[in-house]
Amino acid sequence: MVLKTELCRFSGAKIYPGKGIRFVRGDSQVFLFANSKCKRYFHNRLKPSKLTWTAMYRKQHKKDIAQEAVKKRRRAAKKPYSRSIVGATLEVIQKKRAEKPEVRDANREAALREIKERNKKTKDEKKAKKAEFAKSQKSQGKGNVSKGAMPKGPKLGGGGGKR
Amino acid sequence: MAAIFASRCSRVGRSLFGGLSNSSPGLFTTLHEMTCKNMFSQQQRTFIQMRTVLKVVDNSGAKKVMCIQALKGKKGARLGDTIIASVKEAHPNGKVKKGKVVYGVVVRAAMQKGRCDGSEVKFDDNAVVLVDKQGQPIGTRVFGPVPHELRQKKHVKILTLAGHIA
Repeated sequence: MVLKTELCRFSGAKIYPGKGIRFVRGDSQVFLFANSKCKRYFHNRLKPSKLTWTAMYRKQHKKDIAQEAVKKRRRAAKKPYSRSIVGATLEVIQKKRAEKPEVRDANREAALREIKERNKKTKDEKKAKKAEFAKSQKSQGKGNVSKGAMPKGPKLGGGGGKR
Repeated sequence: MAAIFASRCSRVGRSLFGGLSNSSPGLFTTLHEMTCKNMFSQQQRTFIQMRTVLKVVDNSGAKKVMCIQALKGKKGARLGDTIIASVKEAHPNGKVKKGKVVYGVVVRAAMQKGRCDGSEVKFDDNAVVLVDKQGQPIGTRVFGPVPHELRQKKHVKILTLAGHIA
């Protein structure tokens, strides 16, 4: 069975079930006191930081340093590790990480050269197409296209006659 | 000298403590008076009995009431008890007028009250909520904290109206 303990607002002592005084202030704030001594000191406006036996004093004057040191011990920082992602498996990532910078530069150069060549090729193809299209246009030439006969009937637009 | 005065005060006893109040004006200069003041500030909070003035913490229209009869117990009323009181101060356009005799439920008491778990609860002031003979509150709002002991006393309506249950 777990005992539900609370802390005294003045001394910081543990209040076990069946003990303690609960004081409710006008602004609905609840204060728990371990005993009448704490209650009396609180109402007489004594500062717990000036009384040596309170938890606040002990904390301010660093009395429980050994316990604090134990608390402050931190866990070892996690080492970063690699894992496979959607684009690449773990082996590929490891291989890329392991390869030398010279090899990497050479690969990059080759890739750039390939891209440039591809761009050049596409440009040439476009130029050839354009020239061909222009030739075909010239050969056809522009003939005089006669206007089709207008349909007979009354004018729909209407001129600016008398109203 | 101060010790003699303190012993005299203690010999006079309860009547002196009842008669004098803590909030008397003027500056205390002598050692005797300082001792006396300190003793009065720590006097025991007691029951709500005849002539106890209580604060009204609802919107019934009354501001202050004076207890004229505690309806339970020999000594007086405590937290959650019902009292009969006379309205001493009231708002000009409230439901309750000055001089009217009303029933009230003590929702806050400065005297500590033991709880079933063994702890004690006490409040800053003495306060009531005005009710009718059937125990239904006259007002429609209750201000400030109220204790959950009122549930045992069948004043559930007051608990539902209250803003904070301690």
